[in-house]
Amino acid sequence: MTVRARILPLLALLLGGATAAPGVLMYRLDPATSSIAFSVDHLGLFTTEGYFAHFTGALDVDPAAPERTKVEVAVDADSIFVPWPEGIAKLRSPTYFDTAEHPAVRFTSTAVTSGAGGHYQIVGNLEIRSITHPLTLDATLTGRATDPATNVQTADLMAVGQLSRAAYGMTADHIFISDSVKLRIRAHIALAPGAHVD
Amino acid sequence: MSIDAPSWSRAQRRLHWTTAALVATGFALAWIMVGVSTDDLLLKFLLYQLHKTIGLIVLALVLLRLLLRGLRRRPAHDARIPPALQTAAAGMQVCLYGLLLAVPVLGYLVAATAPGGIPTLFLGFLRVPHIVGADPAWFAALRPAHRLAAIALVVLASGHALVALYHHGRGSPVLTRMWRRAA
Repeated sequence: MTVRARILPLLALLLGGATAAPGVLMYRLDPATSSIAFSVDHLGLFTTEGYFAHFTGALDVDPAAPERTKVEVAVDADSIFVPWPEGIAKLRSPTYFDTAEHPAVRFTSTAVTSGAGGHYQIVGNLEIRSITHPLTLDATLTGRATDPATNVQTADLMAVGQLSRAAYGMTADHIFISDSVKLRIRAHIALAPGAHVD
Repeated sequence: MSIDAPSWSRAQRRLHWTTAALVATGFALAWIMVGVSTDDLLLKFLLYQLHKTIGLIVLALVLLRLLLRGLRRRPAHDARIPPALQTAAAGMQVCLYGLLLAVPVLGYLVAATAPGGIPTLFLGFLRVPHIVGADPAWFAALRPAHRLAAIALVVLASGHALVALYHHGRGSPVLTRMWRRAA
């Protein structure tokens, strides 16, 4: 699959980069236990929720300097799901994600700032349909653990954000479907194998 | 089952023709709304909600009609119509009432089990609770059942109308007494 072919080298680059900074923890997003969901509003009457089934992601966390945390996520746009078959076709079509032309959606963080109560602001760039705009995610660390079976460190994050779909050229159905799209990302991240830990 | 009222009561007559008009409108709307492209999502949504609203009104009106039928009965059969045909007419009416109830109920269940969780909004804003949730298997079975029952209803109602016209042509009051109060 072309998306995989594009994402994997990106990740390899990212994983390789982990050893560059000593003390940096390399976490990998686990798609089996993580989700990237979105919701839109219809005329203020009801909402539709959907998600992306396939994605890869990585976080480089420097416990000594959390603000240097880097987040990189690549989403297979074709894996979009809404509970309505015609809706999936519509979202893949040129009026929305145009997945044939733009198979990947990417998020790359530029700055991470930690706030009170385990909150983090992840500022970055979101690329959809080859259009890039800044996006801020409000993330909360909800749990940290060490998997007793594998001795791998894991962390649970919940991130929310909001974007304007029109900004990415998705202007169809502007009365019926809200311009504002809410994002809800639940991430179960595991320390990547071979990652450098001090 | 007959009582010798000279004609149907005014409420019964009004309900009869209102139901007929709503069923015809809802039926036509069904074909139109299904045909609307998902590119016109808002229009498609509004037409579906209108269709669902009509169905709910029909259901309420038919329940009212059955109540009135129980309370006020019906005018006597036209004696010129042979008893076998009177029985056939009564059977036809049972089928029509059954379908008038079944089609909206099936439609409601289609809406409730449909994927996507689109609400049923009476008059476009009053949310009607769905007693069952989205279920692809039930939806796949209910949708053709609703469609088939609706087609049967329209076919039978057309037959019912043609037979009424036929008797009317032969001087029977069956149609006029549904149209206006007997002199």
